[in-house]
Amino acid sequence: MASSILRTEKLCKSFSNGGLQQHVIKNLDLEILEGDFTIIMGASGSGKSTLLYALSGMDKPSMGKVFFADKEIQDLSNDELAVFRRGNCGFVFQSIYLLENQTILDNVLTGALIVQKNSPELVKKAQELLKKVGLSEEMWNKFPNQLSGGEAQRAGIVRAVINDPKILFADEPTGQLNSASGKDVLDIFTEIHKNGQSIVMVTHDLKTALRGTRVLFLRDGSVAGEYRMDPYDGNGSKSRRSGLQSFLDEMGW
Amino acid sequence: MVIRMKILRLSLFNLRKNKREAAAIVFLTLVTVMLLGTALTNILSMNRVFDECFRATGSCEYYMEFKEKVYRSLYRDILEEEYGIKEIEKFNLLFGLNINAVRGDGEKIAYHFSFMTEEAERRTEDFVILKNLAEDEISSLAHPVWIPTGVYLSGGYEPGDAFTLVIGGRDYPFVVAGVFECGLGNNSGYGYKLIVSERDYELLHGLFDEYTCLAFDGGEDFDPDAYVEMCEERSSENLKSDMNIASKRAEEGNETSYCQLFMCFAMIMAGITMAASVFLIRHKISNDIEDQMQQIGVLEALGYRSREISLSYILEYVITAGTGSILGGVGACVLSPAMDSFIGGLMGRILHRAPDYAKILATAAAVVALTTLFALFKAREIRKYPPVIAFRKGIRTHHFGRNILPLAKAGKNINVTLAFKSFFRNMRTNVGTGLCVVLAGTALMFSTSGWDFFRGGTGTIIGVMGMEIADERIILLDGVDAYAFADEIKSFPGVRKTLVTYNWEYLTVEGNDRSTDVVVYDDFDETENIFLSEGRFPVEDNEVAISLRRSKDCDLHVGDSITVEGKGTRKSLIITGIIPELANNKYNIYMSAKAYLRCVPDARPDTVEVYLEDGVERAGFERSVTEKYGASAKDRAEKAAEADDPEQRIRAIADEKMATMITNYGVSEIDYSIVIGDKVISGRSSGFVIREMNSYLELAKVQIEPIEKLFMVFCIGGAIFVSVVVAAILAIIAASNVRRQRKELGIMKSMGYSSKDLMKQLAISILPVTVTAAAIAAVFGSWLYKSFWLVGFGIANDANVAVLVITAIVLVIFCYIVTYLAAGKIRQVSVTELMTE
Repeated sequence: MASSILRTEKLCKSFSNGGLQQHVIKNLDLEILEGDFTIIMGASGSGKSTLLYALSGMDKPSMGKVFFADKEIQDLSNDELAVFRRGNCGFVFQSIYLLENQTILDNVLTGALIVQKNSPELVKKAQELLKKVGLSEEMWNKFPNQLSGGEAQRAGIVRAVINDPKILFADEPTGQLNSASGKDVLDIFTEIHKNGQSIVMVTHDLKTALRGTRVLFLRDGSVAGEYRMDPYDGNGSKSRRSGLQSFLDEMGW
Repeated sequence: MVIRMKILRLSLFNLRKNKREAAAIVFLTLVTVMLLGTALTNILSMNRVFDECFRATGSCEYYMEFKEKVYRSLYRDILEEEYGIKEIEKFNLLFGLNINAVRGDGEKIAYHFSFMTEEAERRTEDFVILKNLAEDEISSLAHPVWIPTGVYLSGGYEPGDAFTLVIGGRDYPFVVAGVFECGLGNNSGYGYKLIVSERDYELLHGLFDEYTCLAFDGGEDFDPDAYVEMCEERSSENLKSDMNIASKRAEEGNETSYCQLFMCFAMIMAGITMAASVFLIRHKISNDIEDQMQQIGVLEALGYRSREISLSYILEYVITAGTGSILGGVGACVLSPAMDSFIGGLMGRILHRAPDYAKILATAAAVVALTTLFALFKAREIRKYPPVIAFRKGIRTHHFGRNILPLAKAGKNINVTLAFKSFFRNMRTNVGTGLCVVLAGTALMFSTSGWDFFRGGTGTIIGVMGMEIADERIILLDGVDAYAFADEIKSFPGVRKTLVTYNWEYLTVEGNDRSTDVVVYDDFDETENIFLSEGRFPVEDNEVAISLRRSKDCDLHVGDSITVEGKGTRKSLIITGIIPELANNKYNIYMSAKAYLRCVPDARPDTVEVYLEDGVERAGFERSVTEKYGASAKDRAEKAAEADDPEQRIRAIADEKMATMITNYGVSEIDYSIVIGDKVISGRSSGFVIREMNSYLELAKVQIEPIEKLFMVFCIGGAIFVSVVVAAILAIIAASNVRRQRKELGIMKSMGYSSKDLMKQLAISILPVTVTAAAIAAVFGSWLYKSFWLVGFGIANDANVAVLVITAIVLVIFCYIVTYLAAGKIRQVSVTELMTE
């Protein structure tokens, strides 16, 4: 059985809004297993992204505990969390968030060089990864605004995985892409997962969710249900889709 | 109307959003108006203050003071006939150089003094009493003295205070009866006028040279040098060594020059602050436009014209600069009286005037107008962004250029590489920041160089005075062999060295009508306070060195010749060296004894300068000299009245008469015989050796110390002020960069860059700017410092290179620390902001 990489105990997150406390996540106990492709789904405002950021150490929970490989991270300072993130987590954002004033290769290396020393091997690794996601050599020295959304998101994925993170977080990575680009990006995620990468992804798209191995449905800040699937291999998609659809229907999605 | 209100609301919104930046602009404008308003007001009215002082006291504009032995009624006739001056007052005064005045608390201050009776004073001005003791208190005083405001302000005396004069080693215990406002004769250089009783005047008469003085108003065209030349021509007297000229014009120049320099200093500071404000405003508007690009697009799409949107930005600066200017104006009104006290202290005069509100208001209005104008030019940039471009955030965020410093070739430290990438991306801001740091750094270099110079104490200034200032100066009577005397003095315990020279002599240099003091030594290499800025000291009898001021003003250089006119001689001398000179009128010439004797063949060395070893007291040395050679002629004269035995009394009176004849009338040798019954009492003047002993060192200290203290205050104040301005500039730039790059910083944080990493990057990114700016500031500061001394004081005083280098390093470190701390706002940037976009 796969070991736990991420675990929460009584995780709570609330925001103050005009003096009123809005409880987004309530007493959440959750475990993410190593090698899983976990999909977090739920209606708008259910706390999907909030949970993702709390799990990844980007944001501190209001209460409760977050264990990353049995180490508590909720009490770390902001700078300690940054150090924690650089060694353990990779992020892919819906809005991509490449550094606009840096080239694609530099965007990737900016993420790498905070962890690793510069070396020809590192540069080669970045270039190979970029090639692998379909970004040819002539694109490496282009700036983000010179790329399409799909191309930019592929660069974003390379930036997230360049340090071989223990877990990769993705917040609706295809949300701003057309369907063709979205499919290409999802194929990359599937490929990465096949290579053993643990992934936690937030989405509200059924097609995206089909790529996961475990689907958590969030409702009112709690996990309302869980659905497990075999790893995606492109076959039997019809039965896979109907199974997930039934689960989501059951969840009231 | 609705649109106007919207514009106002937008301005107020921006102000509220960027409170700190707005506060900084208010602060900088406040300081600018306060300094500029005060400095401009005081500079423009400085000369008027002098006029008002003369009007209030009714003082004459000129005193022509002739030693009694050279005075001729002819001099008065020349004034009446040649210059048409009818109202001339003639009176006598006593003049003494370097007299120590001791306060009740024992503090000793040396001054040049002239002594007059009240009757004489009332003939030259109105004798306006500022404060005094009650009549009965005054009448009970044995030795009352009225002091001018210059002595009152510099010495801190009050009516009733002890005012003991130390003359020839003996105390004369005066008491301050009152303080009077004084026109002429209220100056450390030309001497302060003391009003004494007629009895005390008679007592002092034997101690000092008596001068016959002609006091008058000469008008604008009166040329005192031409007048003296005419007097010399008609009387065949060489007057320059035997007369003093005190004039309103000269005192005004002397007193206002320091004030104007300090005011210029304040204006330089104000200029730096103004430049910093303008730069900040330009920087802030650019950032605001970039930040609010999409909002601008929305407003344009809603139908607002770019002019109206620009107006909202301009209005923001009218509000901030207006607030700063109003507060600065109030500050200037408060500061103005303090500045008056400061100027009054420097001038030795009490200024009675209200702040010049009109000028302060005009300054504030000008600063607001200038700020608005700069804001207007910058805000016009909005026209470049029609709605579609604005929606797409202009073109600023679109990069198509070259990738500078690709990370594939990055060095070991990614933070440094990213910082340098950031530096190259923000070149326009860097240029502006650099200019501000150069300006502020220049003022800082100037301040620290000044501090370094003055921290050395009076000795440092003496080193640039261009005249020899020994511990003791002994002026000998005619006929005394100065060289033999110097050798004898050299054998005294505690004496390190002696030099023989000539007491102040005056010659004329052809082509320049200024009277010229001549400094003469056998060998200038033996002197300790005279330094060359160029060439070598004069050695041969056809060589001369000149002051730096004369070199600059008359375009004379090493190798050129000047013609010197002596007593009936005219010699051409080659300039061998240039000597920086702070003393006197900065027009000295320097020649060897051989050369001087060519010009003045009958001159004889009459002065011995004595250098004491460290720790040897001047008073003790004077005692041992007096024990061996007897008191000086001056001292003998004053003791005459004290003898009891009739023979001793007769001898003392004879001594007194001889001393008076020697000191006041230049008589060189006297024999006397008195027959009383069968007794013959005889004597001769050969018993006198020393005419006078004094110390220029103490006088120099007294004259220099107040300026030194003020300069130190200005230098330290200036350095603190500049640091605050630099800190404000950098803090605002750092804060505004954090705001502008909030998203970028959030992304970096998501990748694992800590706040410290990012703060370091921001601080490092300004290093190339500050290092370059500090280097340029060191060069400019050095130039400014050198020019300040050259133009203001006529001396070449280079800034200490080590101090400049240390200041530059400190400036760079300071900038780094300030930027790092100001970038602390990065800590507030949360990655979660990314998900809320």
